[in-house]
Amino acid sequence: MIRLDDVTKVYYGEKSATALQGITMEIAGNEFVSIVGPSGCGKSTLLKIIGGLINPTSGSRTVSTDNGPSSFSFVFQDPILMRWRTARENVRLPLEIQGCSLQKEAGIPELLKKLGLDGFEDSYPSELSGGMQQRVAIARALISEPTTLLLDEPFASLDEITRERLNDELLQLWKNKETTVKNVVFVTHNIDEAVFLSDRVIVLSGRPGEVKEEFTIDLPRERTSDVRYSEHFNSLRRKIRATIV
Amino acid sequence: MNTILKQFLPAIIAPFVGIALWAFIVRVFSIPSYLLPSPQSVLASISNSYPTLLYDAGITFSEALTGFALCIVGGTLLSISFQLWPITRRTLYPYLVATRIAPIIAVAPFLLLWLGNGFLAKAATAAVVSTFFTVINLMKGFDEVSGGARELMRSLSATRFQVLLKLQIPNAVPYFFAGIKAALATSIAGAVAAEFVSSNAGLGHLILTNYYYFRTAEMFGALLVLIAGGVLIFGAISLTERVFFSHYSVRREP
Repeated sequence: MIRLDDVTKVYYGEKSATALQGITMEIAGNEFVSIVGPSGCGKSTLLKIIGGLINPTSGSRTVSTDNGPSSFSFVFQDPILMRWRTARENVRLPLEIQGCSLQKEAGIPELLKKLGLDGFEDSYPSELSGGMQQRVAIARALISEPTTLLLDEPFASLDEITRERLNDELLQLWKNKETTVKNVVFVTHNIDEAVFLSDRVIVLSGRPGEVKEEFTIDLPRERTSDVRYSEHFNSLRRKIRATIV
Repeated sequence: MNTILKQFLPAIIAPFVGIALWAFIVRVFSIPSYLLPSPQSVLASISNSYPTLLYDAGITFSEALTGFALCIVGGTLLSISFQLWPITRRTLYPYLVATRIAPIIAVAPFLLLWLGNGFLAKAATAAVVSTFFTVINLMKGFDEVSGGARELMRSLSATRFQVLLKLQIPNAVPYFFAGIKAALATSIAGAVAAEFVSSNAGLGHLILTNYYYFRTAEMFGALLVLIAGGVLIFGAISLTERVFFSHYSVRREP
């Protein structure tokens, strides 16, 4: 469980900017949370603070260790693969840096297969489509066996069909406990995506970013593609959309 | 096959056209041979003095390539030092620029004075004037890493050394090759310049000596061998990059 208490983030410089103001929130150990909001409202900053990549200017972040140690992995909007490494070698990067056991390294082929990259293990990024590159990036995030997965608009630069497919697959991976990931924090400006994937949607207001509202998504946890067209889905979407304006 | 021909054919045909034009001009305008010898006489002089030409080429290229190797090693070490300890960059970079701004032919006498008139001074001249290119291109390769990539490494808790080793150095490979191609050219120029100042062997020495005797065909011969050797090595570098390091280059693949 990750808890933020009255977190504020200010960027100092010629023109100081308050990115986040008074954020108090909790992310439970086993939920899928999305953070939505207009562009520039501090969603990415918030995600990085939740994941411990940057520190808040004031306020606190606590990670409780009830269920064992927590570890965090990020997936960014740009897959940022190393062009000189094959898919397999890109996934191996965190293990090299963190000096992990050979056992984890042996898990790479299976992980690549789980992410639909069977047959592409030795392909270079220039030979992969945008969607496939992002799959490699996700595999790379998962290889270090994190308990929390943090994604910053990972599918924003993909076409709608690929995005929906990756949404489905991401959800399956998490729900079926095929990985070590217990909770997911997902930043997006696509409300459909947020409602489809999450247990809870947090709406951030813009500049400075503050928690405007939280929505519990009480759709059945088994989310098939058709749920996107259900009445309940649409009403949730409308409510959230209205909050962002 | 067709596209390969289309690619290389113009470059292959051009010298033949050029040589034909050259022979034509020399004949038609009756240009004296000490000004512009005919291509036939240049060819004849090359085939006559083939062994000595090769011997001198060996000397000049050993000087140049030794300097080249030194500038690669030295330049790489300097670049890494600049990256890890920025104070070395602030201190030394302006003087490195000076080594390139100073005309090669003006640098050579100093090195000959300090290192004697032998092989070492010539290799040193080659190295001193070329290190700049290695360094400046490696620096660019280290610097031109996207903010996203740096953030990724930070999110993996990579140390500065790991970022250098796993991100910056591989990223710099295509920049490195671009840099050493330029360094090769100045290495050859440095060796020849040093030979101009003081030597008793080598292609630079040959060009200068033949100049004093107005043996222009021999001058051309030496120059052509120099150019041919340089182009061959240049080609070898390009080939090496294409064969072994193709995945390091920043291609925009569809």
